[in-house]
Amino acid sequence: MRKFWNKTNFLLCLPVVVWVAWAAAVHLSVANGAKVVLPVHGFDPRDILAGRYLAIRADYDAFPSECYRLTDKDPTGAFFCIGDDRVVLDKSRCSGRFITGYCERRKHFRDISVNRFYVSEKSARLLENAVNGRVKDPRVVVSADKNGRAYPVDLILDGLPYKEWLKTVKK
Amino acid sequence: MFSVARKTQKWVENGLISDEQARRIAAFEQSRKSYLSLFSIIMFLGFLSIALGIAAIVASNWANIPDAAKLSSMFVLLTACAVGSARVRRSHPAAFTGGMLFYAVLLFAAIGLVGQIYHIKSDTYAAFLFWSALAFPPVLLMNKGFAGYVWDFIFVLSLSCSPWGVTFWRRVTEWFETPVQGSFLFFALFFVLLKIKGARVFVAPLRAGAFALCAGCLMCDGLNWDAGFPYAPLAVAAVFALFVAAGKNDPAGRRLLWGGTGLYAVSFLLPVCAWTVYLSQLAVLLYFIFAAYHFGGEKTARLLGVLTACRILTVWLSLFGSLLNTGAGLIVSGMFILAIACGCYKGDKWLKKMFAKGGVHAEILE
Repeated sequence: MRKFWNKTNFLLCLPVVVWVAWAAAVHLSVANGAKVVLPVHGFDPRDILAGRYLAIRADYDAFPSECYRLTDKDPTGAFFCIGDDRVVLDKSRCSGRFITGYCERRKHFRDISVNRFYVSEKSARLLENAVNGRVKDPRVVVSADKNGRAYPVDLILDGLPYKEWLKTVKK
Repeated sequence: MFSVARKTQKWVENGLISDEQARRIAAFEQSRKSYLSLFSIIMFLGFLSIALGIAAIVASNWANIPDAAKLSSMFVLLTACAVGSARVRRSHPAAFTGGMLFYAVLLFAAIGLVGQIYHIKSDTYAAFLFWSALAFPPVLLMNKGFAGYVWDFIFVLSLSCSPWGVTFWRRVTEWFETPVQGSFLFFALFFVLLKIKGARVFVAPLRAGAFALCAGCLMCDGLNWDAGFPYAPLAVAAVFALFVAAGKNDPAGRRLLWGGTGLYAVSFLLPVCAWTVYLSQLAVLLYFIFAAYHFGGEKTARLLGVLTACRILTVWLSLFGSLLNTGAGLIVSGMFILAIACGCYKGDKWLKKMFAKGGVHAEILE
């Protein structure tokens, strides 16, 4: 045992250990995060990298928001309270988990962590049209950790998870 | 093999080596393992074909592979690469270097894989900074100059693009009144890095980068009139002086250091205008050429000579502007360029003669 743990082996193992720890931390954040379903729409289709991911933006405009209270001198930081379903300027006013973001032009709330959803190249075009067209009621399931970072978990189209929706379309 | 025999034969004929030495050289070269044989090339093609086939199968079924399987496979690949490389470290150094390179690339793919599975939004600089942290051990163990340069380049670039880096560079450009003051910052950094003897693979490229930025600032025009009182160069000078006072320098290095610092100090005392800045830049560049020759860094000295000539030319072109487009202007310009080239040639010859006994500290500037 003592022979194995020399400096070289320690240095070689270190990146793998750090990567595993990071992946585990991300997985736990997603698994233990508060789930919320948000309406979504595509933005700037030029951002789609060869169909490998969908450029998406969660739409918070349907929820009550305090963004209009901001003045030019205020910082633009804001929070979406999960459960309360409203946008506030002070996260302590949320009763549970929240999603961190900012107010754009004192009107729209934008989160800082949901902007891409990776899909297979084969189904990318179909999903892109579905998300951008908005006729399929596109929604995204996000999981928010305790620091307010949101991870997209699933894409919902016509009330179905996108993988199931793709099967119905192919039929 | 034939070329070795031919070469040794020529050396024997010219009395450089004896017959016995030629035979021993030929025997040594013959006994060396050649990695580039027909067999090894065919073997490489076989492995490449298998690897491409596996990659094609995995890629076409990528969407159907469960996330857990993707992550587990990546873990197995990373571990296998680390363990396999550790095993061949002493017996096959070339294989170890290759393994470490593959390991470093694989770590980047591993970061991307987690990002893809969990749909993580991240700034590009953050991904590269994280990779720099993960790839630090393999690059350190590889101990190859090119890997150090690549690692340093990615690390410095991603750090510069981060919010802290952007703030730092903005301050550097805001605080310094003239490019000469910015050059002094990198001159000081160069000497600080010169004192660090460990982790050469990382420090040497940083040192080269600091010197490149130091010389680069001497090539720039422009004055920042909003800088106010020059606190920044004074602060750099104070920290630098403390560093020099605390450390123990070798006499040659100290001479170079104090010569350069003195020149910078004089340039800071001059009234700030375009011409004093330009003359200071030229003076420091010429000093660097002298210093490079003194320490036997002939290639560096020539490169600095070219930079100095370019600096002179840019000012010449900006001075006369469109006048140079006329026939007479082109002739005068041509004569001016020839004069600079002639001056460089003469200066090179003179300096080489003057510092013929140099070369003791060549490694400082090379």
